[in-house]
Amino acid sequence: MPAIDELITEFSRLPGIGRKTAQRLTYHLLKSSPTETRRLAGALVRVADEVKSCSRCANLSDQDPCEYCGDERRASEQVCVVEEASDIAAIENSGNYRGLYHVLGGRLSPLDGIGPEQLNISELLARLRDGVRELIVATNPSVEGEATATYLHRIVSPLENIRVTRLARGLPVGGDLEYADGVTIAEAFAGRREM
Amino acid sequence: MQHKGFRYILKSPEVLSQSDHPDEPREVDSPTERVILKALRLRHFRNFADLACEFPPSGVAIVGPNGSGKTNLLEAIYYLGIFRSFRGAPDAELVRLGDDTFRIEGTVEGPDGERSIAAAYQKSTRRKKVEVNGVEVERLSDALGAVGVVALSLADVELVSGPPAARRRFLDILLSLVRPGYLAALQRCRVAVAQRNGALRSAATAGELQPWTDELVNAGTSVMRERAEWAVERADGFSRYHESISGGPGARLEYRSSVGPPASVADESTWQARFREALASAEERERQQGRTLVGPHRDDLDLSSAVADEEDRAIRRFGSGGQQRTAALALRLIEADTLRDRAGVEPVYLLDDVFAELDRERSGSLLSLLEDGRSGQAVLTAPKPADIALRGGLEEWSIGGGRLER
Repeated sequence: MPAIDELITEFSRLPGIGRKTAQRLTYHLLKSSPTETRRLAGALVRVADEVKSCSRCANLSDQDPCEYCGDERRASEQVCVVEEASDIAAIENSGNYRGLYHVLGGRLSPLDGIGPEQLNISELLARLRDGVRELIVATNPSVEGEATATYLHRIVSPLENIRVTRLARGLPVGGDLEYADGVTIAEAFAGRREM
Repeated sequence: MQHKGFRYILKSPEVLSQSDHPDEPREVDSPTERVILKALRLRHFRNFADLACEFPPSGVAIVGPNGSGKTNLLEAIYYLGIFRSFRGAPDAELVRLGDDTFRIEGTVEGPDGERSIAAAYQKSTRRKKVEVNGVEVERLSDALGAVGVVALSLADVELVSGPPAARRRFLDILLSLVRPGYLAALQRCRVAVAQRNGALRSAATAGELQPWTDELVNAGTSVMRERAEWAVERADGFSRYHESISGGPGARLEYRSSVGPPASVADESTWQARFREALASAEERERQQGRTLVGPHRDDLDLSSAVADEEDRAIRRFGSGGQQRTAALALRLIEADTLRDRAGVEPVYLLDDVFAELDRERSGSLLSLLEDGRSGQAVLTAPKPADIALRGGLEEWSIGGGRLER
């Protein structure tokens, strides 16, 4: 296969990238300097060679333990469970969670053949035995994410001295009540709190 | 419902149009507010290349031979209400042959003033776009029901004679329009059923099945409860309309849930407990069959004739063609009532050749029901000019070759 076609094919295998975008990216690279293209290639090689899954939390990082597990200033008695490593970035951007993470590597989905064994759940249970006091379940509010949360709650709640909490759902900050949709408002009502 | 229908047989439709129900709260002297479709433009929709028309406030009768596109026109109007075909046709089928994108634009006037609503679908990208006042809505559900519309059609008989899925679809569309949160619960429920079926097929342990059961119970309970409550609320209206149109006995409308006997009004926790019990007792069979056997996806709306001193009889199985058509019309009328009561606004009535297959008495009764206390704009179709005295006589337009002529 000619080099150009090979690159187009490789690009078009990426999520969200169709044949046309793949072509545009390829020709963009061909027009830019070879140094830039080599830098991109180098970054790809580094990601492939150096990034590993953290042996404690399954986060993706070039250190093991990852930068969160290895950071002694972080509160080790709190563990936040997320579906994917990319969710950690979103939570970190908020800047106010200082505990540890655990990446499940997906969510329960029998239709896709994903049961508890396919997720990093036994690793989570093993971690919970040393000094964890609170498990914060931050799976997505989709049906699958909720079912995963329920499952975790069921297997973790018999353990002693561990609180299981779930992220709240409701009105977005800075949003006007009148623009919120009915479902969100209903959720916010159900989750209202004492002042 | 008592057998008192024979009274109507002796009456002419004109007499019927006077109120027979002084206790009926919806009889108002002042005209109800209504939504009026003022203008419509279609591009590349079904057999229409480009069609633009302005409708009189009272409505219009569209006359044309079979195959001239009468139903297509009504389908386009209805599309502005729920962004789906009332015939259940996939969007790609609605695009004119040889074209890629259809677009429907409507101008409607309601109590809150005038607004425009547009829907477009592109076949090649499978993209659907809805605009209200020229602004694209983020989610279709945000614009659902912006144009209140009820369609009465001959094909509605399928609602009554067809499989339970047809009646569930009827309930789901209507309740999505009038009950906040219903659509979201329904969608969650569908995902939960599919995943739970997956779990059942993969011989999941009790612990693995449980989260899906929980999700199903949470979402499914509110779906079933909303449906059951609606049926209770509308049972009287259904019976009354059935009685009026048939000139015979009333009829029963009941939500039959796979969860248990017709539960009229029960609170959320009672429903949940029942649902869980039903799932528990079905679990063995569910595991054998690999699918969820209890829940909103297995429920039905029971329609039966209520003849005095006789067992209720399911109209679906025992009703004649005429009885089934009558029950279907009564369902559409309570649909219109539901929409009206929710928004306080009369919907637009689309009448697709409904008078053709009714005998003279039934069509007279239906006409009276559409006049009596209902002021909504009416767009009706007929294969040939017919003297239909609706809204003081509708303007007649002819349709053919993808065009409308006044």
